[in-house]
Amino acid sequence: MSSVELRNVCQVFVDPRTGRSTVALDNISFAIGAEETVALLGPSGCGKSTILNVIAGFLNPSSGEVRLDGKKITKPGPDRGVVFQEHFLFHWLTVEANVAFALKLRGDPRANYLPQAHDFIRRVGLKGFEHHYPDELSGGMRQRVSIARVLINNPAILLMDEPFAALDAQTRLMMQEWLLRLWEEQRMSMLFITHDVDEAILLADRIFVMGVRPGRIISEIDVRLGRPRGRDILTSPEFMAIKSKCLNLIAEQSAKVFEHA
Amino acid sequence: MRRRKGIVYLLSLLVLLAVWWSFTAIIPPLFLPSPALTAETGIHMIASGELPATVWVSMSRILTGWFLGGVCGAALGIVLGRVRPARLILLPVIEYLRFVPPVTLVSLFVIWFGVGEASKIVLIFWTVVFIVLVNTTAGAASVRDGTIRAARSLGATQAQVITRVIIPETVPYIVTGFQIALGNAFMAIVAAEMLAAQSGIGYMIWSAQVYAQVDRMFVGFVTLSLMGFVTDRVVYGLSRRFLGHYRIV
Repeated sequence: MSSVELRNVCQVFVDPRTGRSTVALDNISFAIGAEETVALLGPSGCGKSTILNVIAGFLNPSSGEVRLDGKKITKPGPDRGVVFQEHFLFHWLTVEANVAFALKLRGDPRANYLPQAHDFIRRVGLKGFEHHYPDELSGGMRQRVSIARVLINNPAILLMDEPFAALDAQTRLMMQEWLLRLWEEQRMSMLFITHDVDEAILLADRIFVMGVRPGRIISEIDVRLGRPRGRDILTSPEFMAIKSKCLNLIAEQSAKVFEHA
Repeated sequence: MRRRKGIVYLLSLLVLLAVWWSFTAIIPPLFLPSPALTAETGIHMIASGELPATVWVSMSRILTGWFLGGVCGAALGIVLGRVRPARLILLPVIEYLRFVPPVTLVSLFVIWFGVGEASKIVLIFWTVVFIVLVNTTAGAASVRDGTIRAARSLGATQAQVITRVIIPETVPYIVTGFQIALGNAFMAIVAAEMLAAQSGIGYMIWSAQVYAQVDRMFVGFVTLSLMGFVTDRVVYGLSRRFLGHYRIV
């Protein structure tokens, strides 16, 4: 059973002033299965985020469609949890209220949402920080709160738009390992957008390498690395083999951008 | 820290009093009453009940107009900040109207709304509404798409986005608008009471001038600045206390 399916999705942006149109996505089709992690890897401007925005329902595709468990997606909804590069937490609410936000929207009584919020705060390792405000947390902690905030909806898929890109290298590796452990526990489907090759291989079951102008998937790479995974695989020969394949594909695309720049 | 701030406040007040006092050494009390004379007159006016009644009249005008104007300005500002067509249509009109100084409207409002309380409250409303409106519009327009998208994908309806994201994000701008508008409300009410009223602090100063009672005028000045200072501090303290987590400055 596949949870998310894109069928011939095209996205054309028209500049309202010049009237010129840009093809951001050219005929994208793929599916993400249950419990599967797919990484979208590519240089900036290749349309990675556009794909995520279409699945999230923030954008309606110019043609083609996106289905979630068979149902056509037309607008944002709690069945898809979106985590952005910036945390976009509600800074006037405590960690507890941020995590409980979705349940409070539905009018859940306090006796219901509070234990659930505390449970998810514990799962993302932030027990004791329930009454802190986002401004009082580190970058990594804020991202864990924004992940807990969407997990509480029990989404069919997590859509992650470079969620660790703004963190320093050490914190990023900690967060990647933490996400792998969380996956072992939650077994959620994930679409993970990144331009970091190591991150894509470490987290994903499949990697889609994207090309630029127009944005399309130029190659699909199976990551046949066992789970559970940890940082030790980063230096394994299998990892290196996949990495060199990815780097070559990306280098070709980057060269294309470079020549046109 | 807090205590040090209090001491600085007190010191600056003492400097002001000292300067005032030193001037009374060369200027006769008919033109410049000493702080002592002003205090004496003030105490008489408090004891007779005249000053408290006057303060009450002016304060209730200010607070009523300020509250009504502020609430309307904030509500309209949220709409203007988020609804582009509304902004395009209404903002030019507002940009014209907000540069009509309230003082020039005192006589017109008396004709329209009578000599009673209504004309004063409408005047304060006029003074306050544009300040809060312009501030709130800027705040509501500056809410980032990412925050709204996050809320939408968590399941918020359009209406919930407004009540649970836009308004909380705009609170600091609304509070600042209210604070700035308070100062303007004081200026407007005194002008209105000097020109067209039989009560209030402005009327008191104006009638003292007619009878050349400069000490009574000075009681008026001191009372006004105290009223403004205390109200501003109370507003600041309350917003700190109850809205502290909205990043108010």
